Amino acid sequence: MPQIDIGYRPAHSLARVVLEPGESIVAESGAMVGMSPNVQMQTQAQGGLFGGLKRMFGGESFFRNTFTAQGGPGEVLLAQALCGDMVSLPMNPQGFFIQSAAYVASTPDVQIETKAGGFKGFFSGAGIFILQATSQHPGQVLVGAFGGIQELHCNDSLVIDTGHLVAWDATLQYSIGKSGSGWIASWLSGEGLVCHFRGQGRIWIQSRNATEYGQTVGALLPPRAG
Amino acid sequence: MYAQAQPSAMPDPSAGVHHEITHGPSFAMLRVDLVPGQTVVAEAGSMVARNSHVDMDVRMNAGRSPGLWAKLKAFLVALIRKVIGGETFFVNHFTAPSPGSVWVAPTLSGQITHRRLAGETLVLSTGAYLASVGDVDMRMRFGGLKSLLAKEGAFFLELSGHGDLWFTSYGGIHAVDVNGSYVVDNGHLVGYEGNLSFNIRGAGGGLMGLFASGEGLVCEFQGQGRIYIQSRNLSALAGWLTPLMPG
Repeated sequence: MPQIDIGYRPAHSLARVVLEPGESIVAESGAMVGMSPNVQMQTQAQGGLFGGLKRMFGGESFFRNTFTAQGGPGEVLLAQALCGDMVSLPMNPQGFFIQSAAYVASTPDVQIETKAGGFKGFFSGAGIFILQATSQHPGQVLVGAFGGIQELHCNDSLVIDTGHLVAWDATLQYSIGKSGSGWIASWLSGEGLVCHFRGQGRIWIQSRNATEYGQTVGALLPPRAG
Repeated sequence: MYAQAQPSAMPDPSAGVHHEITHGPSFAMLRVDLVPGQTVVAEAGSMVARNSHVDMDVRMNAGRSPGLWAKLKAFLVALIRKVIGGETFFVNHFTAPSPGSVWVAPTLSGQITHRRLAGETLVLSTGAYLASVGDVDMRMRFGGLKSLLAKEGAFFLELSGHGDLWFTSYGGIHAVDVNGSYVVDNGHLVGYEGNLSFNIRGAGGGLMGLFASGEGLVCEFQGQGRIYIQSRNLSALAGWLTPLMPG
């Protein structure tokens, strides 16, 4: 299994993936920062055309890249677009759910499926799409956050703003709904959609909401032409 | 790794509420541990997470005991602001029948500062208020025509009373203890103690200074008290990004 070290945390994290000869890592399109010359990149729409389209629908890229060290060891440097922390989660039999924008990379044995039933926020405008990561073998999945990453333990139940979700243990039950008692109260409260968690497990949250940040800064910019 | 703190069983009003600020100074997040009977008031939209048994109730930010007129005025202003954007005049009240936690965070990158109010008044710029616990009264204050001119929000939030207050800054936060006078760029002003007064004026150097220095308008404070300044300026970010937008 490749070794993943994360540097420049928490604001500008960069992941260094050390590959043994023949080892691979699969990464989100555009995540590669640098690589050894013997690392070969292969671009593919995993799961074929349908898999690629499903990913696009989920707010990710159509293609993912597979990096393989050939004829010797090699390294790949990976980064996300926004400022923030990254964390590498070792796979377990239960697996994880991942907010689609948080996915950065995974080892090749890890299956990444776009969950059907993505939820588009009616009031908040912030959509959430969820990926499921599963693996029968040891592996890792690298996720990135906007802002700092905080690991929370859900012992019974927790409510999390969908804009702050990074990933959670698949042992947890979750449902997405309004934040307040009614739709008007939810709208006024400004909290948009929240995720209700039940059960035992870990949840990784990010200390900033990218959509909210974009809307705040975007409101100060001139209107987009055309 | 994070272990959820167990709040003490009995609230001691003099000790302040149990809380923790993490991920500062760039991406600060606040956790407040509530005990029954306490209420966390937080800016609308700032909640990151809460225990499920913590109740959330949206309220209008009209002060603790407003008259009918004040309520009506606050409601209209709140609704207009909610629709046209900008800081909302709504706040969320979090209460817990048994100990529980609430996590809140601001929108922009930056720090969260905690201050215990002991009867004094603190005036915050638009968007700087994050949360409070205790007997803290909030009043919206119109900064007058001079603050309209200064474009950084025509409204200020005046906080007084006794309790815990958390406010946020874009970038790091820097406190200046003024004795006499001090000049702050209005885009960097987070807040000031109520016994200070200020005038808005050009940074100096006459017309040339006003338009060519890049300093724009400044607030000149008079008196004795503390000013909070943020190390970054949102208008400056927008000004830098604007010419990069595709035309």
